[in-house]
Amino acid sequence: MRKLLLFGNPNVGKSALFSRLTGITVVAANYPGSTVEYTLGYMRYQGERIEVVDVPGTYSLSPTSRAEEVAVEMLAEAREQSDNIYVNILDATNLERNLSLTLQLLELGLPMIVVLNFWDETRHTGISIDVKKLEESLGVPVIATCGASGEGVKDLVDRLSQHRPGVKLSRDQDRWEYMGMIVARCQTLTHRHHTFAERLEDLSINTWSGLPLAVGILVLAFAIIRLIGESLITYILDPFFGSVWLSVVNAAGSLLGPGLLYDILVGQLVDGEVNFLESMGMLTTGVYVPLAMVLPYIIAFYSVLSFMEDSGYMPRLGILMDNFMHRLGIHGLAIIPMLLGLGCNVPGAMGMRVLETRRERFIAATIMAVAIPCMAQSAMIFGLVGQHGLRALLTVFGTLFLVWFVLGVILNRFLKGESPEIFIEIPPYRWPYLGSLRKKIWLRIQTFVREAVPFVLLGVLLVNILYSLGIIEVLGRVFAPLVQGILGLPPEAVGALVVGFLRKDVAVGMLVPLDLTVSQMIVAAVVLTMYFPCIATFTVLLNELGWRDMLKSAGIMFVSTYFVGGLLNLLLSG
Amino acid sequence: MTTAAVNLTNLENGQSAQIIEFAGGSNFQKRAEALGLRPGVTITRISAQILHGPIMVRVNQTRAAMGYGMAQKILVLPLNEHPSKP
Repeated sequence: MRKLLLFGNPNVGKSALFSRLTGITVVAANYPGSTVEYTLGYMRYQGERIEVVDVPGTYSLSPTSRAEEVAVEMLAEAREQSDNIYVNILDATNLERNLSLTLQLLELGLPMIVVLNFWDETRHTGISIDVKKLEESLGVPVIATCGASGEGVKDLVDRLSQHRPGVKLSRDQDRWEYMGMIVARCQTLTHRHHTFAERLEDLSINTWSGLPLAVGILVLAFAIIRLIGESLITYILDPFFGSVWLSVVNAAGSLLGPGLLYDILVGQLVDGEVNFLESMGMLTTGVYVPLAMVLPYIIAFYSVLSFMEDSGYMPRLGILMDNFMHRLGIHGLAIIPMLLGLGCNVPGAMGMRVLETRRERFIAATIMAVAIPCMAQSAMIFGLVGQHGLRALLTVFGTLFLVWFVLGVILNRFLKGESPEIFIEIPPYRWPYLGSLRKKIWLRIQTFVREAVPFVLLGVLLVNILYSLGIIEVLGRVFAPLVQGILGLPPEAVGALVVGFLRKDVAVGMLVPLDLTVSQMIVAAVVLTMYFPCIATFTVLLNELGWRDMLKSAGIMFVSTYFVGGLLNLLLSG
Repeated sequence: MTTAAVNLTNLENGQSAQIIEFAGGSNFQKRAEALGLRPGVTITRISAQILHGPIMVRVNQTRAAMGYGMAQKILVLPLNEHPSKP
């Protein structure tokens, strides 16, 4: 299929334009052999359906990171096909630096269109660019756009057919010199006052004002997540499951009659009634846990996080946290995969690619897998431990945070090597474009439903099989010294630990019928988070770290789980 | 101009300087150039995190942050002794 490839530096508004050009069908794909993600969509061009590729952002064609390598590989691959169209998107407010990539692309003789995005911003930043002169200098069509408002997008589509190769520098011409010449010819700057956004930029990056601001932003973010999640559950999902779905399940139940199939689909009745959390049937717990308890928090989490990502706040958080994170042997940008991990450890593990060395990735992946509960698990912990009050909740999350920090410090001390320093662009604050924000959130929710629901159903099925075959009982007896002796949990909790390999949310749910004390509940929640990642995360981590590092990491998980779980048990019961 | 070359960490907040050379490896230089940091251009130090944390700089329209150790590897010639408030 013919392709239209969008190239550009990071933070030039590529995804907003991508989202304007493409229809509803958008796919997130992993580049083969890497964890670098890119987005694919489709558009109609000259009566033909063509593929639109949002290539990962790159500053130049000589890559310095894995994402940039992927961009360069994708370009090489695309060049094997002769009828592809190349669109190079530039940040109009930063013409000179962006032109570097443009000239490199032009040197390859690619049929191109150049887009000056964020055109609206040039007006209040005192920049004026002569588009006609720029076209002459580059030899390709130049179109001014504003992805967020849609300005210029129609013009871009109309002129796509004019893509053509442009100027090529002769061998003795210096690229930066030529760029300077183009800028001098096409751009005039006028003096202007600082905007409100720029003042905010300074405030949020200064240590003394930035740190309190960061704490405020994160607290606000989690308050909003809680509010959205709770509201969705209270006003939409619980009423739906309590009435409509309950009658569906009851009808299905009386149709089935008692038997094995009833036990698997509807599960055990609690006090003569269906209990969505405890019944452990595929139609009851298997549907209720992922859709009514976890999905609302997933929606809430990704809405807030995606907004923060698109606004340009994340790099600033990374810079503010850099000093602190270096104590753990990782640089500040690692805060981004850590936050992603709070949603789901899988994208968190994939996000570890922002870290450059194997040592950093090992530390970051291990402390995330050990101490960062995903939103599915947190949602269940909120629901179950939260019943026992805020103190119990704080004990769980406080312990996990402490483990995260202390384990990082220990690993940093005992692993050989050092961690490289941070070096990043700080993009300006921008109001996120709702169109691409919506697509991003939608993609992430889709992924959750697609990946999580089958695993939950499988987990519930497994629980039923293991219980009916008496395997859980046997495992319970075998591991009783560890589980009962050290952690102070009843032997039946082994069932939850087994299922936790599949889904941690279902595992937390399985604690309900055990009638645990508050202290046991706290220990169980912490242990379930720490002992091992769920299978989906494990697969990605294995891919990222390789067998040897994964084994090391798993060893650390087991040891720290028993140490922390045992200590917590002693402290709480003592 | 009689000022001597210093490294980026020696500049005061708000002070501008001309980049002379990079003492770091070629990968560092490549990444710096991608952001527009190369010999000859004017760089302005915006601010710095406490305790030898990252240093924030501006080159043309680009703002960037780099670790303290990296900033030590960029040699610059200060453009004015007394930084003017931006």
